[in-house]
Amino acid sequence: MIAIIDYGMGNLGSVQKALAFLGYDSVITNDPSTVMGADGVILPGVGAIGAAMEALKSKDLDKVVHEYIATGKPFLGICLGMQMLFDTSEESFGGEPVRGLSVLPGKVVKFSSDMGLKIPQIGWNDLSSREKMIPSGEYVYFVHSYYCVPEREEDIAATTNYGIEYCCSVKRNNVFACQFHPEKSGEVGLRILDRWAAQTKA
Amino acid sequence: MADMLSKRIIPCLDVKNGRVVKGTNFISLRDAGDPVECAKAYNEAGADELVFLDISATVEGRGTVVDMVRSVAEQVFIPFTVGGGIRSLEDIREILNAGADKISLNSAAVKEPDLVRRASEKFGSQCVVVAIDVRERKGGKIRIASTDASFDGIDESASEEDNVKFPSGYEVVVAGGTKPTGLDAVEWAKKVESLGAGEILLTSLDRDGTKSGFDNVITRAIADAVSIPVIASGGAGKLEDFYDGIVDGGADAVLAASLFHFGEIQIPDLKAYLSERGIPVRTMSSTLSLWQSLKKDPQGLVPAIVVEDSTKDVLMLAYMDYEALEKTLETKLMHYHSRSRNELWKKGETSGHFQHVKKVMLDCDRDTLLFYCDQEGAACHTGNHTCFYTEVTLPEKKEN
Repeated sequence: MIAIIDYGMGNLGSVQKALAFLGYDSVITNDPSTVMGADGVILPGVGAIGAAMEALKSKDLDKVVHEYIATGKPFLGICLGMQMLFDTSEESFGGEPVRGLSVLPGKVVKFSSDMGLKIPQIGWNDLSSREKMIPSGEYVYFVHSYYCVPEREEDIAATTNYGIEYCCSVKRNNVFACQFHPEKSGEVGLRILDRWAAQTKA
Repeated sequence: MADMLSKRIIPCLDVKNGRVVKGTNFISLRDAGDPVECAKAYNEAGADELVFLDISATVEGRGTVVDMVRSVAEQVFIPFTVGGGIRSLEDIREILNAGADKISLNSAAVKEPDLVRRASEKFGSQCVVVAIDVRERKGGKIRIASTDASFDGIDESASEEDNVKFPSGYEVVVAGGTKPTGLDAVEWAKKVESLGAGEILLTSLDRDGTKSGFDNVITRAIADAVSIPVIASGGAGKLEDFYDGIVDGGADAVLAASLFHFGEIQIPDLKAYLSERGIPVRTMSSTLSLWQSLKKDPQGLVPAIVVEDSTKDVLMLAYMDYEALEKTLETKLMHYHSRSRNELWKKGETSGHFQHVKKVMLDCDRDTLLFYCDQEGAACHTGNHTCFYTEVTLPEKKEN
């Protein structure tokens, strides 16, 4: 059983439907024991990171995320769920930079408006993969204005190019995360989700 | 062209009472009015996103949209937008909760601009598309939709003063183009951006249905005036029109309806056309495309029949998952998914009895693959050349 963390923000339904399509059972929950008992956990997220961190903390789910990750069981962060894994984000909340979960060292910064490109990046971009779970050269769907800059090069699982080459996926031990939306990336996304979810059946 | 954000091709489907109107007939569907089948067909054809426009006239009709959204979201996993008659945060919440990725506001935004702000604050800008329909107001002459057939739509009495009202030369219109709003197109686009719209869906009503190309003047004017993506709509008739909409009009995405529905232009052809001319478009590897188009069994597997190329003897049947198919096509050696061990199985890895792929055929229902192979040694683990070495005695025919 895969638990999809519900902290009030995120594309929970889409993730659940994609998993169901692939044959995986999942439950949308904010209950700590359900999360801890799951075979795999997904942290989704759409919107502003400040509000997301507040929402997560208000339900003590930030602690649950740390505890769960410590078990070594598969963990997947999507979009904001990836950004929240880092130390800080430039996206301010009431004037202060937002502090993330610090699961991975690094920061989250905004795309520069000097690049002459529209912000947020909305649409399909192609992947340069360094990780088996992610097929290189295929396109996935992005909707974001901020991107992650991991401190450790070896944490980078894939990059893509939007004005600059930037990290769009990370993997370290049982923690895997994507800036793009695998549940909205057609067949490519389904393949990535399937490869991740297969670990929960191992 | 890789290594950058691709331009999006977006088919638009009109739905009425939960059914697609002018259903997709570029591909033979069991039911061309079924939104899920149409969505799947477009997804397989390479559509990057979908827009469903609800043209139901009644409240009951509109109620069916939520069910439709739910069904589509269960089977199609590319972004889709729902528009048509959305007037409140409650409408938006219902549709997004059912599984739509974005909603589109048109007349409701004009009537109550604050709705755009409230929607983007509550659900996020990425969910809020504002659809802007425009008509040209150049030269003081006004084109108005009219039920009077003798009226050609040009109001000769319109003065130069009207032009001043619309610095961009275009007016925003609502109610299917029949009601002028007095709003300048570019000013309104900037206004909705400031209110939190995530994207603009710009439709030239003058061009719509004419197949004379998008109105790239107003598309460019708006694309340059805002920093959110602009989807061009209305007027596309040929491949060049899409290219021009992107290059001249500055559109980030292009939308069309009948053109795709009637198969006049196929999405793969359009993408090839654009790609050849340097426009980045989203592609998918052939193996992934093939896998996507196959009908999988309840376990998500596809049966693979193996026949010996030289003798045409049927050797065996086993099952493939994506990984097995990918490895098979890549190495030209048969790989399967072992259902007993739940892992990738390279035929011959231990026995040395590799199967070299010569030809692959797909069955009419797209639910089975047939491989013609050169078999090293025996196909069956028992040592038999073929797995089918046991004859079943047919029962005697009973005489009455």
